Amino acid sequence: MNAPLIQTEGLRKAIREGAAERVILDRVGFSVAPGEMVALVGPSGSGKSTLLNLVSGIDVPTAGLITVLGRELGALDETARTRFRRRHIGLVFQAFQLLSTLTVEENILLPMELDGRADRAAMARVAALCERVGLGDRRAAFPDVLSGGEQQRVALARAVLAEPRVVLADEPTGSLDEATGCEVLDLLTELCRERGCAVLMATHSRRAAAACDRALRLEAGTVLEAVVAPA
Amino acid sequence: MKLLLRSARRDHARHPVQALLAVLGVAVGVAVVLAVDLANQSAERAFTASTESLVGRATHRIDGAVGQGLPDELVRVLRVDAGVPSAAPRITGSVRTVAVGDRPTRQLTLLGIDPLAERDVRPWLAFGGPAEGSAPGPIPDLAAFLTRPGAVLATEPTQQRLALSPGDSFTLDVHGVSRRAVLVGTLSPPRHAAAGLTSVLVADLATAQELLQREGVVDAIDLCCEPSGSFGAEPPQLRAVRRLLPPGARVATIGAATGALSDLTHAFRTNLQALSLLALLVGAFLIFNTVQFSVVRRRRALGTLRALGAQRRQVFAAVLVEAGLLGVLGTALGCLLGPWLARGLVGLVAQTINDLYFTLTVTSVVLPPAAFAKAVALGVTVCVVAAVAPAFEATRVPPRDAMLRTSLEGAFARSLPRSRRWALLFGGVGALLLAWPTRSLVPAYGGLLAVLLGAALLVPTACSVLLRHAATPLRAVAGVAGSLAARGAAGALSRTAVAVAALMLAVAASVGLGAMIGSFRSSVASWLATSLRADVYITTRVATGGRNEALILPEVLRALRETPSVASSFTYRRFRASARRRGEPLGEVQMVGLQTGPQLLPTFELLAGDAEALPARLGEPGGVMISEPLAYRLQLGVGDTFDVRADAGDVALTVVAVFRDFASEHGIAMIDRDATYHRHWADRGVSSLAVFGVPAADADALAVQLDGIATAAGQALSVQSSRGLRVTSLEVFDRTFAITGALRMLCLAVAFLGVFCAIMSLSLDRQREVGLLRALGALPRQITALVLTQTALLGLCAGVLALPVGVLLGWLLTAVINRRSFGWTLLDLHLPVGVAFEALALACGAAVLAAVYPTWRFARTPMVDALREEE
Repeated sequence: MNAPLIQTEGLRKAIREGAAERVILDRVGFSVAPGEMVALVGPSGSGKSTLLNLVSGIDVPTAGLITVLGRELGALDETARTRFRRRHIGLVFQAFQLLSTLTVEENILLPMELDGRADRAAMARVAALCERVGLGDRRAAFPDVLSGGEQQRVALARAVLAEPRVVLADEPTGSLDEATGCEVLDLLTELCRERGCAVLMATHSRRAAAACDRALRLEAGTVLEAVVAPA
Repeated sequence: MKLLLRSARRDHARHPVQALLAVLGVAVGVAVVLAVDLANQSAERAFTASTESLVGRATHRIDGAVGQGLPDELVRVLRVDAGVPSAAPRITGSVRTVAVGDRPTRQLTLLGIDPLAERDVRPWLAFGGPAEGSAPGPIPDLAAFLTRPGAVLATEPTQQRLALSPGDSFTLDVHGVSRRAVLVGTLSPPRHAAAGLTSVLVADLATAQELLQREGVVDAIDLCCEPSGSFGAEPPQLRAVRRLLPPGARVATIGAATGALSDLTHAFRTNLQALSLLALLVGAFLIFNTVQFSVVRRRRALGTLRALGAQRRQVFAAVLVEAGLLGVLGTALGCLLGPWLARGLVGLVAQTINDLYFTLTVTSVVLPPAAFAKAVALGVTVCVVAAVAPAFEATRVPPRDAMLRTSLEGAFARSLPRSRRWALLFGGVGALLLAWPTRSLVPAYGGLLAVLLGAALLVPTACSVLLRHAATPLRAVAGVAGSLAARGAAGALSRTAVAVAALMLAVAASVGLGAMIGSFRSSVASWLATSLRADVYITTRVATGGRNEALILPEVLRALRETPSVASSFTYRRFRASARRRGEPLGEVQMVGLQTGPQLLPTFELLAGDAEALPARLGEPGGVMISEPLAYRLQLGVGDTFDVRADAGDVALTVVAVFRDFASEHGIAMIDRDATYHRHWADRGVSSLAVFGVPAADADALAVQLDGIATAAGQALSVQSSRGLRVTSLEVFDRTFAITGALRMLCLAVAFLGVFCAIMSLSLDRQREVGLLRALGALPRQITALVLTQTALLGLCAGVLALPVGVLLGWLLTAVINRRSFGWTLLDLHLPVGVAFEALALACGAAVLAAVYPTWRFARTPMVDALREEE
């Protein structure tokens, strides 16, 4: 069996609210194997986004271990975590998070640019990805003029451009209507399966959860159950 | 409405730095205007106090003929024969204390009075006190005051400034001659008179005559005349007074006499006020930007409120009330800062007045409530008016669109053609006002303001074009990050264009003033090189502007002229005379009786008239050569005639030439000493001397030699080689423009702070975007470079646009404002290269500095918080 790409042990995240401490995640442990798609489900406020932030290295845990691609994130400083993230992790947000002042292709290229790898090959990959996500004719457009579904497709292309081994998606269909959400979900699944990425996706959508290999249920900050998703 | 305001209050509480910056922006704008107003008023109040202390309650003043004064016997005649018991003689002269030990050198006015005649005119100097029967008077020891040689009195503040105590003897430099004086007591005038006596030594008339070497003579006699029964009619006693006056003497109302001095500084004060209003204009732009930014930042919240049913007028009123509150807070802080700033400015104002006009000591900054009321009204009004446009805009956007940034940028893009049309309109109106054939400064400043507003309205379009074109080269240089920086800057113009316009205005003002001062300085330097052709110039050490010019003693003059190294010398006699044209009074004119000669006349650069015929025409009786400012002020040209009052009545003078002269902004008229001056004026005094040395003589060595000769002959004079005089003149020039330079820096400070606030607010507002970039893998240094590049681009835009606007402003200041204020035409427009670089560096520096704190904060804000930041 391949070693898991994502692994957490005894993960805890608490924040201070005045004199009190609020625990968001507690004793969270799970793993995600290469090529596996895992849904993270649970009610609002259960800690799904926080868990994704911890796995991506955007945030740091109060206690516990997070290992991604064999690297223990707690051992890295912020700069190292940033470098690690931009090379190995693709991010998809619920609100698309595109920069309105950059064109479609510039938005897609941005992580490679930040990593100093925006060469000719990268540009070619951007062009190919634009075609792949159905935006070949909108490459020079700005996000403002795109529909929600189109914007999320740009975000998906951006997430996979650097060929990351891990993609983290936070409610990728949460801002879309059902039909568009389905299209985006299909595209996400296809892109990740094609590239063999491990996907950890926070979602409220049963349909999205059903598209995954399995689902982890978070409740009151703890992984209560791990269920195998219906095929 | 209450909830809307509560929401605004909480928003400011959540963004304290932005709120503080907004208040500071308003405060600095208000503080600058208030400070200039207070400095101006303090100088004016000091001038009025000093005038009032000297003239007291007098209604009229009698002046003597040029160089002769009035015989003190006239006082008795007036009292007895004209029935004017209040006739109070006075004699004044500029003196200096000689530094000894801790005692500093100070320029003072020596005032000689008759304490027995002062009861009605200057009761605070009268023996016996202000009211009859009251005793003792303000003069403590009358016997000592009247009988002790060199006895003088001074107020306590004056004694402190001079480090003197009653009983102390000290030396006075009186027109270069040393005289002993003794302080016999402390003068304790009432408060209203004390301010004007800060730099005055009071002596008995006889003592003052002796100290000033003018025995038997008084400068003026002040009169308190009973008013006439009918309005505007002359008091009856004056008819009798006129009959008794000696030749050349005249009587004038006190208002006319003091008004002439006040008029001297009118243009200077107007220009100062205009400069402060420029600071306010920059401040108004910044206030506008502050309020607009505050609205834009809460656009989403306002959109939500509109969606929830808030009516347009409610949103409009809420934004205006919020701006008003911002204005009140900022103005209150500005009112605290203003007096502090005024203390720094008042010294510069007084220095300029001292250099150019008359001796003035300003000991404190006055704080009239009216000035504060004006500042409060101005600050709050500007805030509210500046908020009208953003408030209106906030109500116009449909609720859904209000939540979208894109609609904001779209509205901004759509507004560009409209702002271009307004720019053209303002530019056109400005050009018309500037071309209006009038000599008034008001339309000129109105035109200047309109041109500046027009230029400011072009800033959004120009920035938009510049930044759009910068994206491609920046992308080639720095990749997507470069493109991101340019596009980010362009995309933020809806929120930063006004701040960039304000910075552009301030930098343009700086460039314009720099160009004006540079052109002025280069013209003056060139004029000095042309006009100072003699080897050495000698004059008395006296402040300018007084009615009674000090003279070179005859024996000293003889000694100087007989020095073997002196090949030739030419005398000047400065004096003032009343002028009139076709019966209309033209006021007093500064005149010079000039000993002309073949070496001296070529030093005048003629702007009108025949240079070759000048010696002959000026040598004709009644020929006069006038300076450019005088020609402009009196609207005189070659061939025109005007009359001046001489000893025996009016003399008609015909203008034979107009010459370039930067020595006096009020102008000067030169007549030939032998052909005209000595023919109509009895005075034979000499104020100054231009000396040409023998061919081998070194000018500096000759100056040292002549200085020694003058001192040995008994009078210390100001003896300078032409080179030394050039240096001194340019030093005075630089001091004169110190106040302009200070205001220029204040304008820049206002703009700097404003742009600092705007860009810092903008940068802080981009927290979420920065959070996203960091989530996508941007390193802190990349974020720093991005933010700094973006802000530098905005600064660069302001700097680049400020250069042409500044040059235009400089040209308008030299060709229109300067001409109308002083009548000078400058040789050419000279833009110092340093000023251009300074402008660019300043604009970029301000912008980049403004981004330092936000980048520091970005680096410390947890990414999670940044991503969660409200849009």
